[in-house]
Amino acid sequence: MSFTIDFENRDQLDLPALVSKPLPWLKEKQRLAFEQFKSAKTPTRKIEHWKYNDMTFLKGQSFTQSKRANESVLTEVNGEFNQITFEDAIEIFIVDGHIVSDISALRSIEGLTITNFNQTSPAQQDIINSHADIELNSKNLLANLNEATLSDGLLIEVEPKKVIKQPIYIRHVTLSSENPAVSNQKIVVQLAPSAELTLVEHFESSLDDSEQLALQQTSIYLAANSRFTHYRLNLEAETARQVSQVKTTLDRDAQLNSFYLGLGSKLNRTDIETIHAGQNAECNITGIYLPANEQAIDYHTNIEHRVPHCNSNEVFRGIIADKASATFNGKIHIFQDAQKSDAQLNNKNLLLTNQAEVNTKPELEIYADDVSCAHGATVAQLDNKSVYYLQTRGIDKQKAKKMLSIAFVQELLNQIKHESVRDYLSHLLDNYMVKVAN
Amino acid sequence: MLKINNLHAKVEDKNILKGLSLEVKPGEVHAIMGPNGSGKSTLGYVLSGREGYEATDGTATLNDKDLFDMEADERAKSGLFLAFQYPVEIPGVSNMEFLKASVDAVREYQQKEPLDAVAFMKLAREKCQEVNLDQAFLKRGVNEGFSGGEKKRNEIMQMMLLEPEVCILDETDSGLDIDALQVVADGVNACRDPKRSFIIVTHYQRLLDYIVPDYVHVLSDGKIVKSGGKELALELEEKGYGWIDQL
Repeated sequence: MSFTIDFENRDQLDLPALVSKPLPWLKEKQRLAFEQFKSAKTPTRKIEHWKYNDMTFLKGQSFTQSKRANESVLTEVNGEFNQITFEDAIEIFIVDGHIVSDISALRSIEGLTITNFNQTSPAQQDIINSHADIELNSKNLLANLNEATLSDGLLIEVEPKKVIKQPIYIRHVTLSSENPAVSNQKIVVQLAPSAELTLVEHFESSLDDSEQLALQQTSIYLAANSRFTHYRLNLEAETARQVSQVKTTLDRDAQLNSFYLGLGSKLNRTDIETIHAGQNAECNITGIYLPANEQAIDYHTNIEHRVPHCNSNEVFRGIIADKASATFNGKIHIFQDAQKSDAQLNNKNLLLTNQAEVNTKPELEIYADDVSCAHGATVAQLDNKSVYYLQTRGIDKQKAKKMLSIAFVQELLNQIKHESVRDYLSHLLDNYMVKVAN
Repeated sequence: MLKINNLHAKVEDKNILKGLSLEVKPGEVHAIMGPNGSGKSTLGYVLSGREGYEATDGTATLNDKDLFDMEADERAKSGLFLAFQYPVEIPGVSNMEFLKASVDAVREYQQKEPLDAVAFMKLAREKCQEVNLDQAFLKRGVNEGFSGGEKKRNEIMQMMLLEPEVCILDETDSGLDIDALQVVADGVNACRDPKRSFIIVTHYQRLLDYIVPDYVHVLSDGKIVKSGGKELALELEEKGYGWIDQL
């Protein structure tokens, strides 16, 4: 069964009719999310939360829920898409919002449990329910729609003190046979005290001209002293639309290292919520966005220091080509009790053409008085003097521009710890920059 | 080799060069001296193809090829080299990556075999040693955080790697202490060759004690107003640039 959503008349929609295979234990949260979805205002540029996004495609458009593809589709996926070559990783395919890999057949690794939502025990269901943050999503009707209509999802758990060496490599693929289609799903990650895990989320879509809207949420809880490394690579086709959220809650001494890449997509809106809920927690969030043609990439980040003695370090860089646009909204919220917080935020942008656009908005909300906070944002164009200097050494203009553009983000690439990811991205950037540096 | 005839050039609607002529033959070293604002740096920029420096009249050819018909990188690949007075810093591009790209481009244009990574590393290390630069500089960003002297030595190292036919050294001596000056001059002298020529643009005579020119030209208000042998530099040093106005 699939559902059809008419955003204009969503108040007339009925929840049970929308959810194909309901998860009874999620029913109450879904009902709340659905109420939010129905009452939320339709996104337009007049609403601050959506100010820089063109959401007009929702108007007068009905979306059908993507159908589940069967496992045979993976042969096609493997042929069509480039993948990161890991020495040893646990690979999971999610196609059009449906978990296609047979989770029960995954190799078992001590201390690591991966469970399909519909296979969970009551204790696991409680965990998933605790990740459904209806309030946090109140402004975002698409986040609520995702939550309300979830029928597929993954719970990833790591036991105390277990260090999982193999990265979990989730390949989110949109093939979308229906048109226009909406896909949705959720990943929940739960790390027990002193556990360690790396998660790589790789988003791809086929190169057709279908109208797709992918809704996705990854919600992470890091218990005391746990460490989590997260890569989120959005490498979708020109026509793709994704609205997603990543929420991470850190307990005391927990550490989050995350890296985002945005490339492609007609609309890629990612809201990144990071919450310091235990003392001495630390997050390092870096990201690169590279929109070209008429693409639009938007990262909305919010870091909440709710308790004292936490660190956050956030660096995003963007290179905007052609007529593309990018938005970076970086908010740091330091609560009154969060003394001795250290929060650093930096955003730099490089515009390659006169028609490229960037909206950068660092926001500080500080209610404590003994904190160290710094934020900065810059927008620049390629330095003509540098281009000329390289030319006088025999390097042609296009190559010079490419070298300088890559240099702009190189520092962030160099910080990537996993060599296989770094190599993959270096290659990708190299090829991409040849195209846009013309 | 390099022939400049009646060159006029402007920068942002201001005429800077007003009929400069100069012929440089293989193996020759020419010094161009002149007061600030006489157009010394402009000459290097116009010949090398900097944006905004426009030749409005006259010609400049390198081995009978019209320089103004070529992009800046083509001029470099054809054998023209400009050592900058103020080399730019390019963070994020490593010196090694930059030098390799540069040497690759020039060799490809000149239809020479490309150097493999190992051979190039070896060559770059040798050249580093010759200009007394620590090899650690190869890993750093281009000129990033280099001192004035290190930047100039980096320029000379690039010149050694690219093996150009005509080298223009734009105030390479400015801001150098005597030891650094000696290193730079040694580098230049090591590159002297019957087939390679130099134009040394300088404000001071001092450099010419180390790199002895065949000809000295005095540039004033966009034109060469006096030419002579190396003794002209000494005369200038003694009498000062005010002396030119009386010529």
